[in-house]
Amino acid sequence: MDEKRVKLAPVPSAVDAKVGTVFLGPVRHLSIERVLAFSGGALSRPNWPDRNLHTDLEKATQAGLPGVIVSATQFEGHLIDLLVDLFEDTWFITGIVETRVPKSLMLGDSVQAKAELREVRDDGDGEIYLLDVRCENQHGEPVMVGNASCRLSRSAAVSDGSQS
Amino acid sequence: MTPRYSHEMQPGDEYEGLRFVVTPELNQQFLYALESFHPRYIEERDGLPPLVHPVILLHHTPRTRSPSYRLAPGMGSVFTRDHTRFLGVARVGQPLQVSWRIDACYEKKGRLFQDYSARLTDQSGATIIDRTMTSVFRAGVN
Repeated sequence: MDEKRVKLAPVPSAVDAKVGTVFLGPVRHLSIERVLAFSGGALSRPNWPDRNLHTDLEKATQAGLPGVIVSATQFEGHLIDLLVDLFEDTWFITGIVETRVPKSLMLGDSVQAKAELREVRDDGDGEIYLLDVRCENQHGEPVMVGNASCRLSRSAAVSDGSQS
Repeated sequence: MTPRYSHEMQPGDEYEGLRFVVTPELNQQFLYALESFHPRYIEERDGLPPLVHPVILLHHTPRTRSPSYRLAPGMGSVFTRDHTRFLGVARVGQPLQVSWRIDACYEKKGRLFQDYSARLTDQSGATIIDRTMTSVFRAGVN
């Protein structure tokens, strides 16, 4: 990503941003506390935390891994946070994200979500914002890559469609 | 009937569904995990409960969450690709349900891949998220 046009956290809305703008989420450190909170199961469980690839070194090495790996869903959550910052409640209704994981993120690593506005497409009643997205570790290596889109309607305010 | 191993599943096969409710405590546990404390996930708004953080919806939709998911001994499964559509909000305390279906099975470079769909709905049947995911199986895992 060309980071010459970079917007640092806190992130402004994507609306009216120029194509090529790169939005950065905050750098997050994947400490044992955060990783256990995510992958250890509900705190209320009697034998918390669950023992799995994301919480237990023995389980990870048994699976042939060099160490405890962070669940990809955890850092996808950081990416989603960035996208919600950009599009607010509309993300929950029209957001689409596609990702793949080229490299594992290890316990103790840091991660930062990034999104580059690639195109804004007018569909007559609104605009579709298309972005290239990624998460990078502290070495700048991609641990998640993909794309995202969100449609903003020009008509009435977004309803969350929630049921009573 | 004993559920089949995942690698034996064929297109059209379905896993047993999952029902769950996100409590305020569970929601805030994930907020802590992500260092994400926006009020929308903690406070009521317009008389409605807080929103469930979307990562919890993602966390509950891999097929490994199904009660009928089984891996054969010595076999592992690695997630490779994910496509997710967000279609609605989920709220704390609201019953949610996940269903899974195998879409395709194919071999590439000697390895078995499976594409499957997951749909998370609320108690009215409205879809909250739709996901399609791809996993590859690995043999020789302890």
